[in-house]
Amino acid sequence: MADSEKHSRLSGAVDDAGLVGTVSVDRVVSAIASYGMWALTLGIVVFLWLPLALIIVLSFMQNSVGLFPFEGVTLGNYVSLFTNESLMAAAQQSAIVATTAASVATLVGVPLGFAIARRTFRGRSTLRGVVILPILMPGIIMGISMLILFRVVGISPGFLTTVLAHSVYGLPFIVLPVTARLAVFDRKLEEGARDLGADGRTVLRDVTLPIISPAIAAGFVFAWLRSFEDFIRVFFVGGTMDALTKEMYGMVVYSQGTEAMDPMATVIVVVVSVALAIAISFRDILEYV
Amino acid sequence: MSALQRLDAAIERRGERAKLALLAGPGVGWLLTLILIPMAFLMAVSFARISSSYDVVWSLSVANYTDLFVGENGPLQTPFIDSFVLSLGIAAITTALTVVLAYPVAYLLTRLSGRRFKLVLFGVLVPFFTIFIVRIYSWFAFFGQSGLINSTLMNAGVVSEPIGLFEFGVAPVIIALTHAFFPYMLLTLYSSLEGIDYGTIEASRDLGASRLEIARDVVIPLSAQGLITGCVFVFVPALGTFITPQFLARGKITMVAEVLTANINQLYAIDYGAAGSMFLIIPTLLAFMIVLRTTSLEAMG
Repeated sequence: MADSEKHSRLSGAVDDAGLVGTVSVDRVVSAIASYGMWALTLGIVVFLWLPLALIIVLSFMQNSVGLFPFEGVTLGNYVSLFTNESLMAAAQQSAIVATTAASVATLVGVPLGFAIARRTFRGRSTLRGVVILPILMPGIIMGISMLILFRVVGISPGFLTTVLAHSVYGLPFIVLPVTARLAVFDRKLEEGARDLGADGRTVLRDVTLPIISPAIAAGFVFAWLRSFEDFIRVFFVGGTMDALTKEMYGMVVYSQGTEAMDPMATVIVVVVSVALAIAISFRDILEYV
Repeated sequence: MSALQRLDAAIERRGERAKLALLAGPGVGWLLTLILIPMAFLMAVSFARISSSYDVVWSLSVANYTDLFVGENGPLQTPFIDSFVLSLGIAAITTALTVVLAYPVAYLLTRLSGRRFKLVLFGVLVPFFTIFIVRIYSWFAFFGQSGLINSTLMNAGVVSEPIGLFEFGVAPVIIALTHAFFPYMLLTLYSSLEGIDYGTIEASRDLGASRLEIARDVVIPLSAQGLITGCVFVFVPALGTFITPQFLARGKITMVAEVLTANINQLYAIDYGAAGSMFLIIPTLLAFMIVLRTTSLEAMG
C-alpha cells in the first residue's frame, strides 16, 4: 500500500515536471475520477446509514410510525421495549440457540478445518467446496429441505432441530477462516517446538491453537450472528419455539405495533458499532470476513 | 521393502486414516445429514406425493411439476411462474446495482490506508453486521402511502397524491436488497482488487492507456473472479428472499419464496412446494459450480 502510494506520487511529480504547458486531459479526467469516487463512496455510506439513522430518530419519537405529525420526544419506546416480557424472553431464547449452535459449529468445524488444510485424502477438494454450500443455499431451501426430512423421519421441529440447522449454517464461518489461517501458518514453529522436546499435544496446545485462535474466535462470532439474525430457517424448523426474529416478523407483518422495533434496532446498531469499532482498531478484521 | 516395513507402513496408514476420520468425520457427517441428504430427499419427494401429515407415497409422478407449469389459462400461465420470473428480475437488478455501486468503493478502499481506510470500512460494515431483518425493516418507514417519502412530499405540497414508486412494491424491495447485499459484493470485489499489483496499472498508464481502457483491459479482467463470486453471493440469496417482500411489498407482488412458504406452511401442499423448491435448488447448484470453477478456495475465508 505505502509502496504504491509513493509510486503514484512519483508519477505525479514526473507529470508536474515534464508536462508543464501541455494541457493534460488525462490529469483532469484523473482528478474528476478521483473526486467522483470519493463522492460516490460518501453517497453510498449515506445510503447505507440513512435508514438506520431514521430508525434511531424514530425510536425517540412519541409518534413512532413516522415523523408526521410531530408529537414530541420520549424514552417511552425504550421502556416499552425492555418491559415487553415476551420480546425479552424471545431475545434470550435466540441468544441461547445462537450460543449453542455456534459452539457446536466450532467443535465440528475446527477439526474439519485441520483435516482440509493439513491432510491429503480423496475427495478433499470436493469437501472444500461443499463446505461453502450452507452459506450459498438460500435459507428457505435449507429450511424446507430439513423440515420435510425431519418430519418424514419423525423428528418434531423445535430447539434441537434449530440448533442443528444453525450449527451447519455456521460451519463455513468456522472452517474457512481456520483453513485460511492454517494455510499461511509457518510449520517451522511446530517443528521447532517438537525439536525442543514438546509432544504432539503440547505443540497443539501451546503453539498451534494460540496462533489459530483469533480465526476461531472470529468464526464463532460470525456463526453466532448468523444464527441470531436468522428468520427463515427457524421459521421452518423451529416449530413453536420462540425466537426474536419471529417476534419481529410478527410485529411488522401482522401489524402488532412496531413501536418496540425502532428502539430494538437502535440497541442493535449501537452494540454492533461499538463492537466493530473496537475490532477494527485492534485487528485487520478483513482477514476473517 | 521388507514385510515388516510394509506392516509398519500399513499400521501407520491405518493410524493416519483413523486420525483423519476423527478430524473430518463429524464435519462430513454434519454436511451430509443436514445439507446434502435433505436436499437430495427434497428432490426425490418432488417426484412423489406427500400428504399434509408428511406421509410419503412413493409413486413416480411429474404431477407436481405440471401443477407448477400449467395453469387454468394454459401452459406457463401460473402464479408460480409469474413469481419466479419476477424474482429473477428483482435478483438480476439487485445484482447489477450492487456491482455498479461496489466497484468504485472497492477500488477506493484498495488505494486507502490507515485511518481513512478504517473509517470507510467502519461506515460500510456497521450496516452489514446489523442483523438482516433490521436492515430490511429500516426501509419500512420510508415507503407506503403514508410512508416518510410520500408524507414528506405531500406535506411539502410537492404532490397531492402518494407517488406509486414510493409505495410498497418492487422499488422498495430492490432498494432494500441492494442495501442489504451491497457489502457482500464490496468485500469480494475488494479482496480480488487488492490482489492486483498496482504496478500493472501504473505501467498501462505510462504506456498511454486512458482510465477507461485501464478499467476495461486491466482492472475488470483481473478482478473477474471476485466479480463472479460476488454476483453469485448476491443473486442467489436475493432470488430466495422471503422477509424482504413480506415487509416491503405487503402483498403487492409475490416472490417465489412467498409462494413456497404459503404452500408448505399454510396449504400443506408439501409435494407442490418441494417441486417449486427445485427452482431455487437448481440456481444454487449452478452457482455452486460457478464458484468452484472460478474461485481458488485457498483464497476464500
